[in-house]
Amino acid sequence: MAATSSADNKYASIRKSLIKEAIIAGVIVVAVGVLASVIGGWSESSQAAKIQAQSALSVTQSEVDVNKLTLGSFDKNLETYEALDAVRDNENYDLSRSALQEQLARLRQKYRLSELNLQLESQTKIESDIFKNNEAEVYSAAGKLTFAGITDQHLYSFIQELQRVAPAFITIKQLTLKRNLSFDLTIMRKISQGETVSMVSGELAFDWIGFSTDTVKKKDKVAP
Amino acid sequence: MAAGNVEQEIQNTIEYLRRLSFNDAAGLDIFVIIAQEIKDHLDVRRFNTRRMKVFTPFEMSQLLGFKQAALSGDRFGDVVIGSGFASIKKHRLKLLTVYGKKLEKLYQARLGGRGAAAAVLLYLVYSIIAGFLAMQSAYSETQSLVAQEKQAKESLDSIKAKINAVDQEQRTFIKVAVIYQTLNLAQPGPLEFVKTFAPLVQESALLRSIDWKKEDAALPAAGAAPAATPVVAPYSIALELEITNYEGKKDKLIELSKTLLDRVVEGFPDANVTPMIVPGMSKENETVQMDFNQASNVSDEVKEGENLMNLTIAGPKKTEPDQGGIQ
Repeated sequence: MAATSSADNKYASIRKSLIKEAIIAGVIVVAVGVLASVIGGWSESSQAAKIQAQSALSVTQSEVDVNKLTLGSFDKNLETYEALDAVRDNENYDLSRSALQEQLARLRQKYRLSELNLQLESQTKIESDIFKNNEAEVYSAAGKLTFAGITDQHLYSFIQELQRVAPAFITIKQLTLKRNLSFDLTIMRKISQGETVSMVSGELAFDWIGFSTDTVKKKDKVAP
Repeated sequence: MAAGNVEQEIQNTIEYLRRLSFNDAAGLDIFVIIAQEIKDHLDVRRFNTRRMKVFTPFEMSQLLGFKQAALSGDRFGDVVIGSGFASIKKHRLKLLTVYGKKLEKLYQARLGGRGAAAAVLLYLVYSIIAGFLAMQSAYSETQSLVAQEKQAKESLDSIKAKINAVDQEQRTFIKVAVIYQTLNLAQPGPLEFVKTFAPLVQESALLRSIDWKKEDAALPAAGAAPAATPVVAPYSIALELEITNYEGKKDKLIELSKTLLDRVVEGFPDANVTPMIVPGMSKENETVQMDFNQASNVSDEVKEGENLMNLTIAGPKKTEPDQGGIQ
């Protein structure tokens, strides 16, 4: 009887120590679990911070790329302008009719044109996303010049200089020249006397392209 | 006598096994551990067995590797057998009391609990280490990204400052250049044509009329890269030429016309040159034919208007798209 009681006590003691051990193990597991959860949370938040930093970098980088392109296009366009400026004698790109008429009058005298008439239609805006992106309001007016002169060479020179000195761009759509007379003594005499002779006549259909408003400094290189 | 008793005991055991459904055909292995003097008198032929081994305690201890379990003169094998059972790792038969069973259960429960706790702890420790490493890595990467962003922002500020430094006048120049490029204003016009054409004519002809036309080019789409070289819009030029310096001779007129036509064709390789009216040329079914061999047979007299030449030059030549594929 005493032996059985001793065994039961021993069993109860072992069981108690096992329960204690289980509780300690449980506490340790929970504590480590909490620690793991906290570190997991920190890890997640640091990952989120990383993703946010990546996103911010990506946005800034794309902004840098866009601005670089803009700056690059500025440089390239300024180079283009310089090349253009070298072959033109007018920095005015407005569709200024008075400036155009002024130049035409001067050229008529210079190239001894016997006839010179200008017809200009009203200007219309050229719609283009490229212009919109560059904040440029570009207009075009269809025009026609009829003229006559001594030789075709005079007329070619007149057209060449007109394109160089006219305000805005003159882009030729059609040029028709016709020789009306042949040289003879009468004509030579007239020319030598300073008369204008319509040996060659022609028509020039063109588009006049430029800005509508005063956006360019007014400084014609050509003397009036 | 002792050997006889052993033999009898073996016989009795076999008989007992037979009662427990032992079949002789299944075969029987018998191992006997007895003293040397009994072993010498044991008759193993009396038993119908598959294998029968007889050892002394010392021999058995040597075989099992228990050096100290028996000496050469030992007569009893209990120590050797006890050592043998004790050394077996997995007991096939456990004989436990009720108390022992309860202790066994506790032991198993503790073992299972410890195993589970160890597994969970291992997993958690792994999670902690992995989480910590991931956190460290993310932190250092974030620092690097923040530094890169700082640099990018500095670069952006610098570029923006440069862009803002572009003054109003330069912006207008840029707009002018944009117009020039977008509308493809650099492409050749009639004056460029005349510059190419005049040296071809030389003294052999006078230009009576020219009609130069150009088609409008389509505006490029936004974002399209400007072409490296200006795209030449389709053009056509109708020319009327008066052949000169033929000295009133028809054959010379025809020769000059041919030379001039050849020069024009060579001078404008990117265009289609179509002779409409050429001295010495006849038209049959829209096909131009020139018979220069007959030049000497025709009348030498050049009539009025016979020295005129009409040409059409149209370009640029359209290149045939590559058909590709297997022929």
